[in-house]
Amino acid sequence: MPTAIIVLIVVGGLALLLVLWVVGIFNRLVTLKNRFENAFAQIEVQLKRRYDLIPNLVEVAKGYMKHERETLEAVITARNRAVTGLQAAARSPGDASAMAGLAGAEQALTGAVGKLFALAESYPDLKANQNMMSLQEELTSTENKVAFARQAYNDSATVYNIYKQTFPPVVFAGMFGHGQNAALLEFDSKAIAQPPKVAF
Amino acid sequence: MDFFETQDVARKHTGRLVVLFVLAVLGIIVSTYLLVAGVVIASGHEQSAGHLTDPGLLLLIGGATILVVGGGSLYKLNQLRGGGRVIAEELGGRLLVSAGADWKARRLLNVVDEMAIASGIPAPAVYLLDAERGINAFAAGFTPADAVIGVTQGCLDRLNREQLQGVIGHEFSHILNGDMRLSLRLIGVLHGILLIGLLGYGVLRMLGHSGGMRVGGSRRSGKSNDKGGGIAAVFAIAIGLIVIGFVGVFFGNLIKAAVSRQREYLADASGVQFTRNPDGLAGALKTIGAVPGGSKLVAAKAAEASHMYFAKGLSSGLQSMFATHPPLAARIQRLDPSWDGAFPELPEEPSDADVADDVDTPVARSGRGVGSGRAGVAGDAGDAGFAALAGADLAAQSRARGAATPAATASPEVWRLDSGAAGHRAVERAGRPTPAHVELAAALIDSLPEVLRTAAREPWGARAVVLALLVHRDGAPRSAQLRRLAALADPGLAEFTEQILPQVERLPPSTRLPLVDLAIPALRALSPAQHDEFIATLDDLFAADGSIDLFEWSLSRILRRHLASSRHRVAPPRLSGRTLADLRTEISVLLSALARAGAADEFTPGPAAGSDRSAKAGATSAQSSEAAAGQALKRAAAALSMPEIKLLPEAECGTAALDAALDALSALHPLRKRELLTACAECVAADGEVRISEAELVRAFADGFGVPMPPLLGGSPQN
Repeated sequence: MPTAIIVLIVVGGLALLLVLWVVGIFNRLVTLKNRFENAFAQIEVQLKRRYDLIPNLVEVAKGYMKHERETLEAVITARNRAVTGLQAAARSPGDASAMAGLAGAEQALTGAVGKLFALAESYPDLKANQNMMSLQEELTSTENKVAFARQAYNDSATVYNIYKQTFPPVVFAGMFGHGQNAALLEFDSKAIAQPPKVAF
Repeated sequence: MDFFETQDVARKHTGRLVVLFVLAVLGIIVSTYLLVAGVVIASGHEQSAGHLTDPGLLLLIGGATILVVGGGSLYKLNQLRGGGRVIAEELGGRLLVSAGADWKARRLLNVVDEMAIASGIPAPAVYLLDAERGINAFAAGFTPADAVIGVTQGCLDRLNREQLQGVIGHEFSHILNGDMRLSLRLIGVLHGILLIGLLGYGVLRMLGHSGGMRVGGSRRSGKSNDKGGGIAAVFAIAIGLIVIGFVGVFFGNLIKAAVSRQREYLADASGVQFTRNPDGLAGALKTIGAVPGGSKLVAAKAAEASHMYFAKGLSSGLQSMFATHPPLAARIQRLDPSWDGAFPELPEEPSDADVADDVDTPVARSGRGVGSGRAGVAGDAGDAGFAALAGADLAAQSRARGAATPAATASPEVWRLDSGAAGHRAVERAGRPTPAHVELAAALIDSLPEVLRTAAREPWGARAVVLALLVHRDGAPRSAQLRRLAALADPGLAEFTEQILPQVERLPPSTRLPLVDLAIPALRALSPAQHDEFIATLDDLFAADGSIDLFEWSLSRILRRHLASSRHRVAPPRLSGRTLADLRTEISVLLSALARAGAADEFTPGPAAGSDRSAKAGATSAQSSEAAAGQALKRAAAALSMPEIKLLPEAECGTAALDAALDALSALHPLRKRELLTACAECVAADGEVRISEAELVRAFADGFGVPMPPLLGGSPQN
């Protein structure tokens, strides 16, 4: 009987090592997921700021651009869609469809705002408006911050993706609920940073 | 008991912890042995009962137990080397950097920032446990450099600013008292003991699994009698492991409770010292008592960190023996002796309108809590020496605040000491900021231009703030640096840096390092690639002006130390066991640099003083500054009673030598560090005045030692 006990203890010891090792992988996956989710929260803060600024922008522009209702409405619609997209993305950062949805909505918004700025070029009074200038300035800097936060998010999402594709973790990742890769967030954010120059 | 003694005591506690741990392991070995004996005897194999006395068996069981417990503990301790944020992430914390429009989060960050600057440490990372409705908080980390503070959503929703400040003060006292390292170690140790029970559960589950298959599948009856006996034995052992695991947890909880409870009282007491407002903390505790959920946490991993929380996170059956925290009522009673034992009516959650002005504005703040000047802030001004220095400034400061004028914008570079300064007074303040310091910190943050304040709190702008601090005021170095910046950084960043440059240059010198303290949490949120790029840009800018002066050195030293914890695993500092005498060369380097900084005729701390380093630095003034430095050094050497410490020539106490010296000295015993810092303070005070450059250098030294020193130089005299 003692031999059986010895065998049991040895087997138990080996099982323990195995368990520890797997638990380690599990924990690492959770940690890396936490990291990129935290990084997404930074994007969220900046995007929210951007979405808060845009109605103000439209409000100011409204006073000058009487005949551009459609453009202004398009901006508001795009902004509201982006807000919804952000909410969905914030619920599940890294989810491919949520990320694609946010990126699409953002792109549409960027396009709409870009168009607004392009039109604003032909309203000298609007261009000279103090509020307009400070809003434009603020949007640009928010845009920079979004881009920077996005870079940080993509970095941490990549670290997560790489880790879960390396050998031992790849066996367990699916089992532990880390089957999906974290989707990167890509969108062309330069459009607002440099409003298109329109020559007349 | 001052900071250094508490550190020392914390170390001794660690020793005691190890002893208790060994006892627990021995207990586990004995119970495992008894269990095995029980199984053998119960299974009726008389012939093997004889083997029970075999020392080999005992050895085997002992070895296996130590392997399991040791393996489990080492595994967890290794995981925890990631620092405090590992705990925060495990509990579901979300890193708060730029709070955006959420005023509750912004208020929390403000409170933390004030407390950090008051204690002379960079603001710790703040994690919000947004799934937790209970009112609770924790601080975790090995040193102030990797410390994080976690706060539950309930805490944000239920507490007002004063109460929040009480809670954060309590947590800061854990950071400053060096309790945290012990707490982290406890988690690791307990994990090992807990593991045995988990193993038992695992085996049980496996058995249940295969047993279930057997019932469903083709059961070959009759033949499995012998096998059934084996299964029964394994089952018994699994149950046994759970029982042993329970024994371990029992021991572990005893240890936890014994170590933790007393420190909670201590943290309450010192937390109140920071704010001198017992009502805040007492109010927070009363609110916990009044709210149905109290301080309860729901996170799956909440148990292992239960001794770290602000208040009890878990309900336990055997209150008095296992409680990690003293009873709520007892804690309140100590803070508020007139308390009648009744918890207040459930407070309404404050509405946004009520508190919107409570977030940032100094006026709102001075109306309540800290700023109201309760309980003699000026009392601290009575302290002689350095404390008086800060105190006197503060008194002026608080007068100014009373009149609702913003804090000073111009601040001298040199402070005159009234009386013969006593360096040890400053060092006594280490880890013990006073309400005056908190108020000063609040004033200092208020005095920062809005654009810098917001930029420092968000990763993109925080880089620009730090870069702008490095740019020289004028001359060739400035243009060289700006050129490098434009070449290295992305256009947006370079542009923004230049944009805030004028505001950074107008800052009073005494706010430069605090501004860095504010920026550090945001910089910790950089991704590894962004971090490396930022550090490379910094190094380039350091080098671009052709020399590295002491301000640049201090800045770089502090940044590296505190940003490293977000990238690499942090090795908890170890003691080298070397004495001051062993390290006399390093001490000479440190003190010589300090003495020279204080005596320099026209010391140029980086961007502040520019390049007009007096061209007419004639032989006479060089001689006199040499003499002054020698004088200062002599005083420091006397404070250490080490007359062999000599003033080194300037070439031998440059930044490279300083780096090496500080690294070696940081492994000194806490009580030796106290002597050394006292000597530094004596050295600074020798000429009866404190230069900002000296203060910054001392701050960098203290930071390197892991000693949180409240700002030597307070704000600024009004006139």
